[in-house]
Amino acid sequence: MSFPLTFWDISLLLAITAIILLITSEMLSPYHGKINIRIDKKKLKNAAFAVSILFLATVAIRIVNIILAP
Amino acid sequence: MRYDYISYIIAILCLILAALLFMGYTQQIQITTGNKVTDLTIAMFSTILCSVLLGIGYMARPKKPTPTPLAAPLPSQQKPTETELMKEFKKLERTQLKPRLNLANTVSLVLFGTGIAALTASIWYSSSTLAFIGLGLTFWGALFLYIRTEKPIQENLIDKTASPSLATLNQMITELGFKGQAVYLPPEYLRDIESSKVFIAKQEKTRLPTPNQIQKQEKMFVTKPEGILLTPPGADLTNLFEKTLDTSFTRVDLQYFERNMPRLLVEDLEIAENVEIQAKENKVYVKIENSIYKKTHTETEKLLNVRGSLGCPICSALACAITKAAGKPVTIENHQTSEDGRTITTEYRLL
Repeated sequence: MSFPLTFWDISLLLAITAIILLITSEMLSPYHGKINIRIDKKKLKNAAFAVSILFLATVAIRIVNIILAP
Repeated sequence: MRYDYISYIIAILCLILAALLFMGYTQQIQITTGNKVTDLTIAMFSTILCSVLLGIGYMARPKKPTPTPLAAPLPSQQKPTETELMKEFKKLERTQLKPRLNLANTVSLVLFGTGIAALTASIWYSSSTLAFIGLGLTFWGALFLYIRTEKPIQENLIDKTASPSLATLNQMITELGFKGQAVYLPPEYLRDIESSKVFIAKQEKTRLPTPNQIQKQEKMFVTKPEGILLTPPGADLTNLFEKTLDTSFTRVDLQYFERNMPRLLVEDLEIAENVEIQAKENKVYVKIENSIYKKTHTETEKLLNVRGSLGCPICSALACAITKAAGKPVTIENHQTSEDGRTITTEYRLL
C-alpha cells in the first residue's frame, strides 16, 4: 500500500486547479463580470492565491533540485 | 409532476449500477470485461451521482405546512415546574442551533466525503486514477465548504427596513418646521469625534453655530441658534466603511477618500457596480452606478426633506465620511438620479 501519485503529479494538479481558480475569481470580480453570484469572492480569491503559491513552491523545489543535482 | 420521485428513481438506478460494478470488481459476479479500475471509477461516480440526486430529490419535495398542535390548557395543579421549563427551553434552543443542511452544504459534504473515500481506495488499490479523482473531489469539496456565503441578504430587505425610518425622519423634520439645509458636522463640533451628526436650523438662512456652541449643548434640540441635531441615516454605514478600511476618516484626507472609496464600495462591500469620486476645490462629486440602495434612493425621492438635504443612506454615509476626512462642514448641494434609477450623482459642498 502506497500513495500512487508522485510529487510532480500533485504539482500538475495544483497548476490546473490554480489556473481554474484564478480565472474564476477574476471573472467574478465586480469590475469584469457577474457580481450577483452568491459566493464569498474574497475567500475564492484567497484560495486561488494559496493554490498558486503552492504550485510555485513545487516549481521552486524542482528548480532547486535541478540546480543541486550532481 | 413530482420531480423528487424521478430524482429518487434515477438515484436508485445509479446505486444498483454502482453495486453491480463493485461486485464485478470484487469478482463476486462477472458483469464486465473491462478494466477493474475503470469499473471501480464508474462505480464511485455512480455513487456520487446517486447521493447528489437524493439531495436534489429531497430539496425538490413539495413542502406542506405542518399544523402546529395547540398545547392543551394545563390545569392549575399541573403547572410545569421551573426545571421542566428550563429543559423545554434548552431543547428548543438545541433545535434552533442545529445547523441546517442546504443543497450547497450537502453537495460540498458529498464531494468531500467521496474524495476522502477515493483517496483511501487509491492507497489501498495503488490506483493513480482514483488518487487523481480523490484529490480533485476532496479539494473541490473543501473549497465549496470554504467559499460559501454565510448570510446572503435579499436586496429588497434593505429598502423595506430603511424606508420607514427615513419617512419618520422626514415627517418629524416637516412637522417641527425645521426649514434649514442639513449640515453634516465635522469631528471638531462633537464631543465624540468618531460619531456623526447633522445640524438642521429652524430658519432657512441661519448661520452655522460654532463648534463651542454645539459642544456645550450636544442634545437633540439646540437653542442658540435654534435647530435640531440628528444622527444621520448613513452614520452606521460610515462606521462600517471605517471598519473595512481599518482606519478612521478623521485620520485621513480627501485624497485618501477619493482613492480608496471606489474600491471599498465596489470590491470590498459590493454596494455598487461602479463608483466615481472627484474632489474639486470645495466640492466633491460622487457618481454611483447600480447601487444596492437604488430602491431606497427612489423611495427617498418622494421625501422632500430627506431627499433635499439629508440624502439616502449611502449619500448620507458618504457625506459623513467627507466631513470627517475634510474636517469641514458638508452639505448635499445637488442630487440627480438617472431615469432608470441606476445612476445617482451627488454634489457635496464643503463649507
